[in-house]
Amino acid sequence: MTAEQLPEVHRRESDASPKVKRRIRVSGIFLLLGMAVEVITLLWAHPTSFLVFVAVGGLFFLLGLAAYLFSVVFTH
Amino acid sequence: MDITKVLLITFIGLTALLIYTVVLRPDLTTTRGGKMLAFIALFILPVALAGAGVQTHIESSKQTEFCLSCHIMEPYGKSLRIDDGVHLAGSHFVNHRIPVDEACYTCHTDYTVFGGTKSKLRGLRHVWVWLTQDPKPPLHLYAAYTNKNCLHCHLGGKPFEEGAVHNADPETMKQIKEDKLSCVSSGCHDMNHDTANLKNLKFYYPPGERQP
Repeated sequence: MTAEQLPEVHRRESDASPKVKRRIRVSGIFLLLGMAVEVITLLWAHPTSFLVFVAVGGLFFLLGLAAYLFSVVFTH
Repeated sequence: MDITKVLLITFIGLTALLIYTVVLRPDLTTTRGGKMLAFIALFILPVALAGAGVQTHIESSKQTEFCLSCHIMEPYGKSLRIDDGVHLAGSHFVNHRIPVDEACYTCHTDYTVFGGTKSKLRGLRHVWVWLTQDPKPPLHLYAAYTNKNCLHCHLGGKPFEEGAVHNADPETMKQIKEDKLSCVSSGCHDMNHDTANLKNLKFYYPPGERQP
């Protein structure tokens, strides 16, 4: 049975709200970007790579974690 | 590439797959198991991987190759190959008296509780100075080179403890150990990175290693 076929009351329980879905997607995308930056900087042996990892990768990680925490805190 | 980096990149790949799954199917988070999965994929693993990334970067910044990757460090890297016992950096490096993979870090870090952290902060300062002041060789240390860096290895060793000059009078050894008489700038072991005379010096490269 798909979510659309469920009665209204059950649908609310089994479907994440669009806001939560969006926040989870945004969180995932930021975290994926952060990890992409991490991989690139790990392969680049140069002093600048650490700065790029901390500044750019760190920012993506923080945004991703913040978006996820928002989705958890404001689920209801 | 060392095994730590390979493992870390593998874990990053696996975590990325997990995150991708949650991103594609956010409805998973409505169930208890899905919530746990999302918490692990979107919080626990990224925090762990970011921490591991910082640690790996710090470890790789100890590598000689890392320090010499800056163009300005080129002559200092070359001075490590000087094949002459009088030249301190060269004789330590060429004779493998220090780990050649971490040569710069071995001699230029403070062996204190936060010595490694201080070294890394100094490294960030190097980048800042390089970006803002356009430094030119010869480079200078921010602070005087302390005997602690030498005695970390040499203290208790026969050549140091029984060296004729070190024991010429009772005060000399005391002053060296108390860092009042510098090993490198008191006229004894003062031939360090002689970058100004590289053209006139002889270098040693082990068999199979390419000369620049």
